[in-house]
Amino acid sequence: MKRFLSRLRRFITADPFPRACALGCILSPLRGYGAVANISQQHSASGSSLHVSLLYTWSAILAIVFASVVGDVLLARAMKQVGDVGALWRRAGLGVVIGRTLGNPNFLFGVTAMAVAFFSLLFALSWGDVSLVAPAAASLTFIGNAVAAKIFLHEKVDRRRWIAAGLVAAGVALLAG
Amino acid sequence: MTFRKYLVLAGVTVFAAAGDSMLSHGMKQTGNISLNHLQGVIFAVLNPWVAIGILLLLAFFATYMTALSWADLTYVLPATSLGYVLLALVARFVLHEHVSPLRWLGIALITGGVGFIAGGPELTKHGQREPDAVEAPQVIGTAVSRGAGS
Repeated sequence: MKRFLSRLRRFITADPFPRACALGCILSPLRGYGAVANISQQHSASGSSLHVSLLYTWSAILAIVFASVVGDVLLARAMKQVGDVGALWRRAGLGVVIGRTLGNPNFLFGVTAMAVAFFSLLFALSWGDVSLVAPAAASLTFIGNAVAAKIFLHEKVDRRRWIAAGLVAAGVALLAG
Repeated sequence: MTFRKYLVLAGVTVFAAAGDSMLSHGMKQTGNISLNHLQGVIFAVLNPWVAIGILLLLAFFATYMTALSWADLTYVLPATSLGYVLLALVARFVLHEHVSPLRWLGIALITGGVGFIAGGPELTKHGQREPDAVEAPQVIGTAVSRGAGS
């Protein structure tokens, strides 16, 4: 496994092209709800067996939430490792900032997780309605991120931030639909 | 928190909202892309709205990564949700669309949540690290060597 990972890493770092592809992949995954909603409107119209498709939809929503929480945590960890971008840019230039970011394994895995979240979103939208998938995925991601940030990033999620995460999740659930 | 950092957070919000809506607008013009005909994606990218939307989302990603480099994930994420508020306000006051009471409630909740977060510190301090020590311009030489080690 370790050898596989190091080989994978060497493959990724050997050629800048896969990195560019990966960067392209993250575009929509992060914010593509509106655009993707349009893509699969046709697919959601079947509705033959409601219960099965509801189960599928919620599994896909959980997959979206899981993948995007993993992605966010990895990206946050990567950027903490890179360090303050503004200070680094002034010290060493933009090239170093970009190079250090794209060369960070956490960043690459984070982007991969975001791509997985994007494709889960496509699946969820092909089974379920946009008005369920978008708010549910967005608001559950907020809660999941607060939990994951506390556990894995050791952020101090105090009562203030729990309340905020709850309020924002509820608000997004109302607005995203 | 310096003014520049607030500017980056504002960039996260604005780029996310603007990119999202332009991409969505462009995708509505190009029509449906079915999963069986993915070559439609190529035509979609040629649409100027889609292209601008993608550029804005790239800018969003850059500002988001920048913000994550000096702030907690739980601090930055609510800033992205302000984009929803921005979109609703644009819909109401620029496009003169109807915004339902339930959506106003959503706006109030998000704004309240962001207000809660903005009152606290942006970064959890781990151990005894000096936060802004390397930013002093006089010590460039030592800062580089120290920065390379961290």
